[in-house]
Amino acid sequence: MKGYASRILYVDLSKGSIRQEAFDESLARNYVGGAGFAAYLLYRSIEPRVDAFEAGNAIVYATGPLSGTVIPGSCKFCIMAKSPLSGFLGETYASGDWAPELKYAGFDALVVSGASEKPVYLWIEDGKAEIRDASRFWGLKTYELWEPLLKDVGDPQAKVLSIGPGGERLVRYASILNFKRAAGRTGIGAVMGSKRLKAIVVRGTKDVEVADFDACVRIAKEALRRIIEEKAGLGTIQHGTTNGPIGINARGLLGTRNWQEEVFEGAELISGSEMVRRGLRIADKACFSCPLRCSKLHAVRDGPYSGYSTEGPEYESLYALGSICGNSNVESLIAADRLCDEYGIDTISTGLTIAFAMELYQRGILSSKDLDGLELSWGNHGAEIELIRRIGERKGIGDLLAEGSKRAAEKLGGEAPKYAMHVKGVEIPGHSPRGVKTCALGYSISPRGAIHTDPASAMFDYDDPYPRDQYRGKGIRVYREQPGSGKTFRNFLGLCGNCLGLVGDPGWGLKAVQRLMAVVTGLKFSEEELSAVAYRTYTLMRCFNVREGATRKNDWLPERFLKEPIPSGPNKGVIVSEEGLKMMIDEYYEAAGWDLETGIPREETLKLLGLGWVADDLKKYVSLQP
Amino acid sequence: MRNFLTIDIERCTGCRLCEIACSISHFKTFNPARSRIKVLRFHAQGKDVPLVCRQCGKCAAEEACPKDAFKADPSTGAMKVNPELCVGCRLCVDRCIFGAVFVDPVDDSIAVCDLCGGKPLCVEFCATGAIAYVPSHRVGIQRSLEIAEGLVSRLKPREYILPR
Repeated sequence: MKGYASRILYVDLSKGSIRQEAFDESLARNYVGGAGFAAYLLYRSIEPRVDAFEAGNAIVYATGPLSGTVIPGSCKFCIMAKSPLSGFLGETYASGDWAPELKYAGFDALVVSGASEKPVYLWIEDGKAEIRDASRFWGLKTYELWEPLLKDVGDPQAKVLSIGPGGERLVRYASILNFKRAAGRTGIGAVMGSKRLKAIVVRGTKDVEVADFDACVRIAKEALRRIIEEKAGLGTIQHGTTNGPIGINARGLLGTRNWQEEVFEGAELISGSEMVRRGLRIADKACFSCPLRCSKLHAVRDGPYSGYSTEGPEYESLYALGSICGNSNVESLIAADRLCDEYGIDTISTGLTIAFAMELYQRGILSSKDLDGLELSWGNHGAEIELIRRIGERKGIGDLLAEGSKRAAEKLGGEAPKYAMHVKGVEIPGHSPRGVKTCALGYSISPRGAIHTDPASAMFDYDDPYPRDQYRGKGIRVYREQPGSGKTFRNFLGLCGNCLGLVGDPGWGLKAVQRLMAVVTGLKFSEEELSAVAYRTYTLMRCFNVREGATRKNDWLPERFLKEPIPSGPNKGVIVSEEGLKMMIDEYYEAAGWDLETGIPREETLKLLGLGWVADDLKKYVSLQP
Repeated sequence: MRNFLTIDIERCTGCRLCEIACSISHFKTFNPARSRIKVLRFHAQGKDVPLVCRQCGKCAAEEACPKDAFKADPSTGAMKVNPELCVGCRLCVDRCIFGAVFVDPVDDSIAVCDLCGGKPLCVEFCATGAIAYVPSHRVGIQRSLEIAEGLVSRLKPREYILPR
């Protein structure tokens, strides 16, 4: 079995112990890597029903079989833990250069359990690992951490994965950064903080061996040829995702002012083209092995935000910190993006939680007196920036908002929960569930809450010919197309979504996965076997939630999308109908073999997927339908 | 006339495909740690700096070698280290004025760019043209062109040119 390092590193921070385990082909055949490995290892590593901040929670970091090879964009890694934001499965991804380095160091995945009493960091170098004191790094912002940490390990080429002060202070949507690339969602940075684990520093110099070396090199050369000769990926090369606000706003689907509206008058002003026009773009940066360089470096040279520079903001951050807060000051968005990264907090959840507070201010539920004197009107970027600092430091009103919109709303009580835009506590990303009905379905049923990259948020109906009010058949189609979807196996293989088009031949699908697995690992999969891997993992993730107490009632959208039609623009009047959403969920459950009433996978389903061991475990907590 | 490997730091995105390419070319493996070109990332400044042998006419590493193990390949001009003569003292690593002589982490040998015998693979893997392999008369021409373009854009149109 090639491609893999075939080793998993286990670190118990309570005991201060480290061990390694080799794994065999059966794990690879059943779970492939990345999301599959993480789901499997997490289910078995965590103590059921502990609080996310207790030592019984575990964090899994998993690379894919492609990590460290020449395949373009093979630098994505998966992190899973119980989420402090949802109380269910937390799952997040980042690219960068950490995943390949972990493979070069001789590990496919890392499982961290327990909690340390004093701040520590992990130093992994070529097959060895040690837990080191991080007392003097505790409290440092991410950008301040890299230099002293790399000095401490004595290798400027080591790769850092770390949390910022947000994670240390248990901001429930704290992110984890591989240098400037953030694994933002579901708050696993705070789980690292609760374990007093500041960083994981990795350096590796081992070869990555593959099954068919020449074929891998050919795939990379072909991708480069297409980029250079055919201008493939040109839009990504030019702007990354930064022009998202323009295109999505033109459709009338750009979440604005906490989703009260879906047309933003300042969309052009917060776009990549505008940043270029204003001279804010200073360089294109790339993750490891990626020829597309979609990460755009921006810097502000004058005005109140002079001196701020950041890789980003990308589409989701432009949406969450921009349109959703009514903020069209793009310089302030560069500063906001930088501050979120420095503190290590998710830009999406940060923006949506601030927008939640802004709406309460608009409605007179919160006054400036409740908000440390801040006038939180829409688009007040100065106040927004100040709130990001307060959240990162859990200071004043920031302490409440650091809990996320769901918990903050519950604490405030009254009308407040109506304006918290989240699913399972995870704030809504920048694709309209009212306009795109597969997003309505995906946000509802995803095991990790409202996530636009969940395979169930399929988005094939983003545009014509699908009418905005069509529901029937979508649940079944989403289920059927899930294994071959661009959102599934990239997470297993460790591939960035932007590179799928470059390495799929001719397009992305199970055939591309088969080919990549064959040339990298030498393992041959039938399409049925790959489909089973996809469904097995997704169902296992659901079972994780079932064990934590989830039922069908957790699979639902915020009231606004079901009660308030889009008020203006090309999609004026569009809404999610309750019956429609219910129909899509029913269809999906039915197709997936999940019980319609409870949403719990049926015993037969689990057995068919080779999850009999999960069925036996779940019976300790819930009753399963046959 | 020789060809030279040229580096345009402004074009480097830090993807390190050149490093992987180098390990492909020399070892048929994927391992940037074995590369003879290294891209160092400066996070604070947002810059990536590829370091590789610049084929100096007067090679400091060669001069430092107490065993005369360094010798330029007559066809490419690239420095080659004779493993029979090399004693592994690594003075070359210390003395190279561009920090472009490395030690291979697998066999501890001296690693320096050999231009892949005249067809450097890193060039083929560079998507932005930050690395190029060009004859001497084209060295720096891209930069000259960009500077000239800047000048052109500042020239005002004139109706006629006076006779001298």
